[in-house]
Amino acid sequence: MGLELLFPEFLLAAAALLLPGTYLLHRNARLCGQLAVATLAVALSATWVQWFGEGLVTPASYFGHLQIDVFSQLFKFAFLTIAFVTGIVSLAYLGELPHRPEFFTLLLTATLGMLIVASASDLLTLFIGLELAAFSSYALVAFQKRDDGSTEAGAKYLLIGSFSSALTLYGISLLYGLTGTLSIASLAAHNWNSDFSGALFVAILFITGGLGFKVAAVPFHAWAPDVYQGAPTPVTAFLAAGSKAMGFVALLRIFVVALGSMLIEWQLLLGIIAIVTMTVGNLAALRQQDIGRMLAYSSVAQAGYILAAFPAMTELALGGAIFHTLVHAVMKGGAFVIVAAVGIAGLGYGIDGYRGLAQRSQLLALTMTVCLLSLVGIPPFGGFFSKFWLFYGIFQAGMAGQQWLLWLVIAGVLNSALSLFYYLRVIRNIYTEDPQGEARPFGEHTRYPALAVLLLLILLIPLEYDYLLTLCRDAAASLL
Amino acid sequence: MKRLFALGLLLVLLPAAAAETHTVEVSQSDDGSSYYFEPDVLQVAVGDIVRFEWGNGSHNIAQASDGEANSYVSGFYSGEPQVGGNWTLPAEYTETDGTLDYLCEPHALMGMRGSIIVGSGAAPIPEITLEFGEFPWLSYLLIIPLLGTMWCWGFRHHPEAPRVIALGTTLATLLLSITIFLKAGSSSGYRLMEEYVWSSQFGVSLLLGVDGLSAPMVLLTGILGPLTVLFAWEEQKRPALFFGLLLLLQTATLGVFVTLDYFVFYLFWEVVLIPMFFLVAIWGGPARRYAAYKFFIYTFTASLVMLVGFMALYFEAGANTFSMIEIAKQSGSFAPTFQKWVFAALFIGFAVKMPMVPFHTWLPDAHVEAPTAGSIVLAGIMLKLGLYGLMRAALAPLPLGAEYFVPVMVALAIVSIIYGAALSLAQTDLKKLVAYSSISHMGIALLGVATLTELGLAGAVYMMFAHGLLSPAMFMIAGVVLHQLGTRDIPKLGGLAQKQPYTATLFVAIFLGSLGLPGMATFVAELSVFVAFFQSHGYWLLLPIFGMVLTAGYHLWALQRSVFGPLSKEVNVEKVHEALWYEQWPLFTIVTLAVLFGVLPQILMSPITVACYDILRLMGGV
Repeated sequence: MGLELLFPEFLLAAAALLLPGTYLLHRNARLCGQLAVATLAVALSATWVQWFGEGLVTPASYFGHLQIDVFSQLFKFAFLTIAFVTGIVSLAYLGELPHRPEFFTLLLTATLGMLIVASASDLLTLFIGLELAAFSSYALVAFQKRDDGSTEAGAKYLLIGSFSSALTLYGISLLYGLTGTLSIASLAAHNWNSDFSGALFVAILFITGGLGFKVAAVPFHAWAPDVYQGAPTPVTAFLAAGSKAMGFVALLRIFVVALGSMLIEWQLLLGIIAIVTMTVGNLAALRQQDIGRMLAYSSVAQAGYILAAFPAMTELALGGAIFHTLVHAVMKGGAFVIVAAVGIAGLGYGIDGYRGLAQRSQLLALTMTVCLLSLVGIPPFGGFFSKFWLFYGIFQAGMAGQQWLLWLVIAGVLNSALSLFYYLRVIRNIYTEDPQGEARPFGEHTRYPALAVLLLLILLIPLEYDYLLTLCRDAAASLL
Repeated sequence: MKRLFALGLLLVLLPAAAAETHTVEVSQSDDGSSYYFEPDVLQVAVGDIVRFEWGNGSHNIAQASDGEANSYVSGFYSGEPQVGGNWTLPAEYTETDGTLDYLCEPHALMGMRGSIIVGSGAAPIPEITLEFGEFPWLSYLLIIPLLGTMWCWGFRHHPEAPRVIALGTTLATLLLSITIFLKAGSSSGYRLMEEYVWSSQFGVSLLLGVDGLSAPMVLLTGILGPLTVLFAWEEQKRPALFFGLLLLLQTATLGVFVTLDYFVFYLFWEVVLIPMFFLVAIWGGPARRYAAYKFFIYTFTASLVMLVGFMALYFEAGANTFSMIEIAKQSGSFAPTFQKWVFAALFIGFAVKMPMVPFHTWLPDAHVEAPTAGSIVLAGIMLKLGLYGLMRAALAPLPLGAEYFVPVMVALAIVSIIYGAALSLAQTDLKKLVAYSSISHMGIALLGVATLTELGLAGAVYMMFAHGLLSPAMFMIAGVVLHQLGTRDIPKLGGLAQKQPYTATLFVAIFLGSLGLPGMATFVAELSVFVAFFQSHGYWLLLPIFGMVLTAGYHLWALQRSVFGPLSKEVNVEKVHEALWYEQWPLFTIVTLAVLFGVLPQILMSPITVACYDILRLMGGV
């Protein structure tokens, strides 16, 4: 088997090494940024061609550590898209700040880590991918080193992040001790002799703690509001869209694939975490005055919805979860693109900064509104479709036997209604208030990402959800 | 000759001989320890005769709604418990396939029940005609207002263009809706159907079609379109957005009325909220933000509950389709408990939209704060969505659930009628008065639905149409008064008739129409509902009739205080003049239509009754 399917990974690794060199030779920070974005674009199109051009009939395995299948291709594509958009927005957002080449290098390495997570087929590779992405993001979060908020967020992220990495690693080592293998496939095939093993449960607890941090599930969510608020906004978008999706990839690989046969050990645990996460996230978001913090708590709540699909363990529910993870990346990423634009224009990061946005820029106002309504799950926007099919899958599993799953659906539905309160507050500010204070005009650079998000949420996802959901169901089927 | 006669006799008697007679013993053991029908499950062929013969004890035979019910609801009944004798089941009950459960009233709790399985045991599904059209009328109906929205947006920098575009678009929609109403005709089944598959793996499709229930609603939406635009002719604040949202709202409401797929129905149902939220939040009165917020959250929460009900229906039917027609066909297999729960979920969604007391509190706020055009759409079309949804989406697939909730619906309806009317009587704000009167009027419509009879359902639909014409007119009056005097406070008004005699005449006609004057549309609806309610519930009718007295009271009192009497001194009446042309014409049109449909009710009544009969047939009630 040739290595061409790993081309995006090699490309990113090479570019990450060459970028600092380029800067040393040319002393042109702008060029470095553009090179990084171009690299991401090439990697993205390569994935596109590999995925859709030839199709992927059989999964390709490399050295027993990486496995390229429908699932990993789907997420590789998503991660590269997110990184590409982040790159474009960052070009403008960073302006003339020093150390831009480092920023883009870190962006490339973080993306590389995510790609590795997407296709890892043993736990150690998975962990290395997670760490590569995590270490790059610690530095990215603290990038504005003269800004107290940014450095504080970076420090917090680093501390809690390394703690959770340690937890994950400890959980993995326990699994290794119990089974003698790190390969996900062998773990799935492992014959657990008892119905319930205490040691395994401890391992599961540790892994849940570690990965729960990545997806910001309660009670491991405390970092999210501070980091989302303090980090440079493109980085926040990158974390909210990419890093979160990466956490779900790892969770899916570990729980659904490796420990799928021991469903009984973690089913109830994840169910409870899901309900608590969505409720706490929404309740906390109600009171936020800072848009970054509000969106952070909304991210927590969305993680709860997605986690609810895990206990169902059906192809449909997991397909819905994958679909919602991807659509969530679009909605949340889109919202943060607007937050970045409003921030650059000098309107600040409070909800009050959105007063009269409609009169300043129709496009930004519309995009923000569509993203927020989408996050609630109001038709006809994209978020409704992914959320509907997510809960549909859980509902089906509930009707098919596990009655308690219906409570997850009910909790999700009630939470959606609750979430309307805080999203509507921003929308109300955008349209019904008059603008206050002066603002610089909005740059051209947010125009295209905003248009793309609009196009996706209003047209593409609603009209083509059947096709997209089939893709996600295929991905889920390749896991099960 | 004799042989031939014998043969003839044989031929005549043969059918009678084919009808077998079965006997069921109605009895109890001597010591009274067991009560039984023997046999308790009887298998008969279609057309057979069933005789019941009494053994020991005093018993009777009463049909039950299902094998678990403990009381007689409706159906066959042998009379009060008797000792000895026999009774024959009326022949009509064994004419079609089905399962008849029955019990002995005094001994139902001791397990004295039985069932007769006629033929295959499953009630035959009535055939509902589905007629696919050759020309996609309904798609055009949905697309044209949407195109108008985009067109308005394109001309957003032009001060005059949006309103002209909106008027043109709504007039085109009006023509289309009249065509559709005429083409739908008044025969049974769905017409002009179209199907566009959206997701084959889950059975979601854009399934469009009209019948006698939706065609009048489409017509109503079409009529109100140009009137709304005309009435908002002088809108100065962001006109492109305003008219664009109005047109978007029209697409969404029409979508609810013509779709026959639960998923798409929910989609349009929620899309309605977004433009309405902005209409109230941007162009509303002083407390508009609060009102818009409350409106959105109330209705959204309720419709989520409804959505869960839809999902449950879909999975329970197991037909892998969201089509309302297909799911209604499975209703025979839905367990009674399931039906009750799901009907409750759907009813919450619909009751908030109607709105019924105690879910009504969003309505006065939204109405008072909304701009007049918003109020027109809110009262004229949006309040109808709830009842329409109840009749379209909840009754046919959940007959037992509906039957179970009849007392609740009746109680809520009566409370709404009286409470709404009483609150109207207490209002001093003209607009608030009209808002509460809507609650009262929609209560009458719900009362009609709760009778579950053809006349009652038809009266409810007619009420939706009549109220959809006259309530917007009342809001227009409130708009005219506010526009000219700067206040809607009834005690401050008075003597308007002296300054604007022509307009005042229109006011009077509309108020009288709304209170149910014979010869106008509301009267037809109220009469049908009350007759149907008397037939099903007897003298409980006195309660809603008392509500009618209050209704007449607040209408006349408001009229007398604001339009007649001495000229008011509290407000500046110097500048009061006749209403402007764009205010007068819509009012005049509505009065004409209200009289037309009051004098010639059969235009609407014939399609409506057929559709209501179809619904009852699907429910197995006829």
